[in-house]
Amino acid sequence: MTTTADPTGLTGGVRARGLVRTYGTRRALSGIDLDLGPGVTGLLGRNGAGKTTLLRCLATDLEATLGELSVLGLDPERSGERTAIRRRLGYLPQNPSFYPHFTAFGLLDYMAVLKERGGRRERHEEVRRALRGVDLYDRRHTRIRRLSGGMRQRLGLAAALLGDPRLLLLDEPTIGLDPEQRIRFRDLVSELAVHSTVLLSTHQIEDVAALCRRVLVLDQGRMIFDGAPAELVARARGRVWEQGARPPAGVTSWRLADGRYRVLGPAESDVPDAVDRVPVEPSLEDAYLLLTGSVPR
Amino acid sequence: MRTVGWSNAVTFGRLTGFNLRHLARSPLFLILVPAATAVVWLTSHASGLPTMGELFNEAVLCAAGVGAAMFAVTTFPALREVRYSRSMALPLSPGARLASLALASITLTTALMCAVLTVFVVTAPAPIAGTPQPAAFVGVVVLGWAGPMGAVASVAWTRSYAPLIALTLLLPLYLSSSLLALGTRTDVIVSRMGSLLSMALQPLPISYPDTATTALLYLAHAVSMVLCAGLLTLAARHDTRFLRPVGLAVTTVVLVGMAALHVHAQREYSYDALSANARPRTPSTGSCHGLDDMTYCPLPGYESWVVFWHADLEPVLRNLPEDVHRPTVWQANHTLRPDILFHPPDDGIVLTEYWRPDEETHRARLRSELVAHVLGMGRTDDRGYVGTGQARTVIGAWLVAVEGEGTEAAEWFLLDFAPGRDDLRLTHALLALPEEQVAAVVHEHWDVLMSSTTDLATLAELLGLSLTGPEAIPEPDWERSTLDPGFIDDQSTPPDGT
Repeated sequence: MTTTADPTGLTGGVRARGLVRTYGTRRALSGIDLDLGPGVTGLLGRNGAGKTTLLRCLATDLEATLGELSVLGLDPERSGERTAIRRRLGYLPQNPSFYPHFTAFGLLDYMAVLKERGGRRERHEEVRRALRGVDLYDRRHTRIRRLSGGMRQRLGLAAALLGDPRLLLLDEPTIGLDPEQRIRFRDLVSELAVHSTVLLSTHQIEDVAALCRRVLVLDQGRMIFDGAPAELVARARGRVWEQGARPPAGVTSWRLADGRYRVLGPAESDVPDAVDRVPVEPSLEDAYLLLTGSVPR
Repeated sequence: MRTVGWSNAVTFGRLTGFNLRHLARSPLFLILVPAATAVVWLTSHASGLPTMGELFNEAVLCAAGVGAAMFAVTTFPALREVRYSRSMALPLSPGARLASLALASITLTTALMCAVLTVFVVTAPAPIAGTPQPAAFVGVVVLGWAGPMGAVASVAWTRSYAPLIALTLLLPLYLSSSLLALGTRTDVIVSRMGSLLSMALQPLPISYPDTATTALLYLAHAVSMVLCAGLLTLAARHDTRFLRPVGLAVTTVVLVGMAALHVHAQREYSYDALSANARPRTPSTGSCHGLDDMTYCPLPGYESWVVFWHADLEPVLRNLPEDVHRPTVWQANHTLRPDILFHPPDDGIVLTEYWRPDEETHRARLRSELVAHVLGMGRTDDRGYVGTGQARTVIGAWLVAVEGEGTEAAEWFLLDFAPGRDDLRLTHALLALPEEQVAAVVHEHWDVLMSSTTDLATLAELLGLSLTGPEAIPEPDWERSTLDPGFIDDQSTPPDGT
């Protein structure tokens, strides 16, 4: 149980024990144990690993089949507490589909009303602030159907950031953002994470590397790693090389800009010898690929 | 969780305010609602003497127009709640958000309908005659809610714009089918669709529910329609196991109740049922109004029309001998005085609420009724009485048209009694004479002239006129007459005094 102090009286963070979610006979989550507190936590995993299901459970959009879950110190299975969680929650779902006839301002105003953000003037001020935060203020009167994919993603982010959320759940938030916007996004999330809990599900490993003090890796509904990014990188040390010759089939590798190959292997002895092979410092991405079994073990 | 409950109520209220503002500012609202209002305004029958029945019809038309516009306007935000906001983990449930939208939409519908009706009442050129039945008017406003509620229910089931598209396509299809499908099998389908729509708007076989019972029946019908839409919205939820079957079952019960109400209304209030149940009774004149020697018994709320009736009858009355019995004028309709309407009292004349003092045909008809009664010629709507060649037929025509009403009113009177060429010729001649001259003869020879055996020649002689010979009065000016000479020749038969 997390115990972060919160001026609203709610307790911050997330606590899950033995969380299971099934779809028919398929287990999307298999006994997840999790404690989350303030700061940004990255959630990595291949497609279908269970990341979105976990986020939806934490966002109270989906009920867990088994297990215990406490979000901001409240039980999401109880209707009244679920509503209280949702008021203090910022949630950006994967591929959010917004009502296309809303203007950017209209959507955020609607969300702010539902999050009970004070009177009209105060609410509108907050909506304007959120729009400025994602650089959409100039497009506030544009209907959503006329916004580009990246703008919609930023709008979704602004909606999630409304109301100073105690828990921010972001599912693939940087898809479609240009580098400048991604940096802006990182800045926003870092600032918020000083006093809020942020869980960031992404395939953009550089975002995790830049933002997260902690990384969770899911694979087939199970948590296979929970630790600092540096710890994950450390595990990959000695298993990443660069070489001139093309590695044999079955070895994960890719051609670099200078024509050499970057090779990931389970152990040095398992990779066929190459004359110009040079061990290199693994990146977080290398470490993640090695962990999730994208290379032969 | 009292705090959460209160907090939800506050959020619900704020969301309703938000929805209200967004609905009122939506482009569709800004186009469709003025268009619907304009249609209501243009198709309304502006009358110098408005009645509650007219106000009610105006309200029904308004409910149809505004309800249809609000159906279209509400469809879009309903889809927002049903299709687009589900995955956002919003604090209020989808059901509560839809309820908030429905509340905002029906609030707007009510405000619009009340505004239109207020304008109708405020701009009415005279006080609105008739019995106000609040339940009936509340019923019409509730009926207008069926538009937005129908939008919410249909979107909840289809999760698409399909209902709006279907309605948009159906309306021109219906209108064009009405013209193109005449005489074909499609005509029957089109006609049934029209009947269903009429039945939804006006389930009672009367034009205006002017009694407490009929007004309550109308209200029950309107509430049932809205209830059905609400129940269908509940039944569209698929996140609970029992709501769908329960919702559908209760909807079926309400629909059966509506059908029963319709059958009951047809049995109790159809023309045939009301005429069969009406009994000849001696009506009480307790609430009637006396004016000079006449007694007028208007329907409740029509008291202001008495002066108009009296003004219409005054030219006839002043040319009648004083000792001639004046009948009581009764106003009746199917629901308030069916006994009088279907069994008129012997010493009274009956006019319905549709006989308007500001319409010339109805004013002439009222005078005709009085004249036919005092001349002992029966009611003008008792077809078959032949007054051809009778002096009193011509006197009657003269009395009806005596005060500057022209020959038209006189000819309308004659038409009910199978007039011949001579009747028409003499009538025109009488109307050309000074009123005092004819009135003096009528007063002096009343008893003779009232006899069914007194012929035209006697009347002509009393007035110093002749139907034959070199001094004979001329043929009617057919150019100026509303009657056709061939028709007159067919009509005329020898007087038999019946």
